[in-house]
Amino acid sequence: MYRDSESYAVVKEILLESVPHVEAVKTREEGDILIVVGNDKRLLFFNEVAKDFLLLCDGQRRLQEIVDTLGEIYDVEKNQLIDDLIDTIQDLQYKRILRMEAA
Amino acid sequence: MDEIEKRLKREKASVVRVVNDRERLIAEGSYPAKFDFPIAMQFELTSRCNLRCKHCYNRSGENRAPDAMTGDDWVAFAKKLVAKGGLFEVTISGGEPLLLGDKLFELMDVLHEDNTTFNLISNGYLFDEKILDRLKKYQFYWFQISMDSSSSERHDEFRGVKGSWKRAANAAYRIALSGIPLRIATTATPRELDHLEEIVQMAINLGASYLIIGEVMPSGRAFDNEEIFLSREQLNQFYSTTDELIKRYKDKLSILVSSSPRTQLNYFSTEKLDGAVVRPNGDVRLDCTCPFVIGNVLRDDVEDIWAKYADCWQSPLVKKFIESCDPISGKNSFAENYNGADIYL
Ligand code: SF4
Repeated sequence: MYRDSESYAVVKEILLESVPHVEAVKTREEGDILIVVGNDKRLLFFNEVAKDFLLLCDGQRRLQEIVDTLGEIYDVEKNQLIDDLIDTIQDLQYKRILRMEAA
Repeated sequence: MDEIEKRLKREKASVVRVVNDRERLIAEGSYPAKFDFPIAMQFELTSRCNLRCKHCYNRSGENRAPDAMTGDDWVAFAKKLVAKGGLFEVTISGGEPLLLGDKLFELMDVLHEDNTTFNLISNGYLFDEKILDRLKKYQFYWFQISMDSSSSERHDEFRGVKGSWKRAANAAYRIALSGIPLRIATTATPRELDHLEEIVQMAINLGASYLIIGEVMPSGRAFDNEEIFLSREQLNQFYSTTDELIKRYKDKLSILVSSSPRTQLNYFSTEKLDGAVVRPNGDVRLDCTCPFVIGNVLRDDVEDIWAKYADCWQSPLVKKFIESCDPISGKNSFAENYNGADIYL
């Protein structure tokens, strides 16, 4: 399993030290949902977890700091939270509304 | 089953699919169950128009009284919207919106600074290089130029002004060259049915990204010109021809065919996302295809109007209107849009 491998552990380290930057053109909160238009002008809707994550991405905080903050809000095991956020980041990158910058 | 029945069945299935997908997302917490503020709106900036098209759904160009909404009122309205979180998408139409002159750009600037993306619908008659230069800075989903024939003579006759086809073609070509996504909209009337492929080729030559082909909307001035509606037999031909054209030109042009009026109404009545058309007199209509008014932006707060929006689609009068819409012709036995009085909800 890739997620149990040594290479994933290294990738995780690199990502945790990186700084996520939101590339959205326009955002608006609608209850628990975040509405986002990215550079390709598509209208996207994100659930509460993705919303909380995106709102913490201020272009300054490293992913590790964001994980620590979210860990205080959500009652979830740290490694599970990191894995979930890495999936979320990949989804957001694919939708072209998030860019990771290496530290 | 003829082409019409197949088409209606397909449309019905696609509305059910969209609604089910949306319900699933709402249940998963990935889509709002209700929107506190609109995502998108259409602004019909003026009822003035320099053309007199036979099918004009809102009878533009007939009103002698000035529009109640002045250019300054539109700008003030846009500022109010922005102060409350703004809109993601605004469709600008009329009448002819370019008749607003500088105020059009003042209005667009307010929304542009809030990162709104636009659709703009114009007949292209007033278009020139100066206007294009000013438009280039905005974000567009599409800029629509209406062209109802590949023949300048037939287009000009349909739109009531000589030379209008040439000006529309010129505007379309320049818009596409500038990189703004060009959408050509064409109305399928009986005499154009055998020429639809020529319209597709014309749209490709002009650099269009999209071509939207629709039947005449049973509304407004179209009722003064009964000969422009398709008969059942012609509608069958329309659907089979457009299906064929979509396949044949799929690598060159995105061809969209408007849904039947009743399908559109059924879809909008389930929509929780956008809608609402602001008229040149400030009235807010549920949609441009039906006669229901839910408030006036010159008098009412936009949040109060919006709070009524979703519920109004479920009101008995609106339901009756939808049920009275003939599934094939789209004509309505309960009320005629833009021919009788508006209905205030
Ligand atoms: S259809 Fe468009 S161009 Fe024609 S009269 Fe109406 S608003 Fe004017």
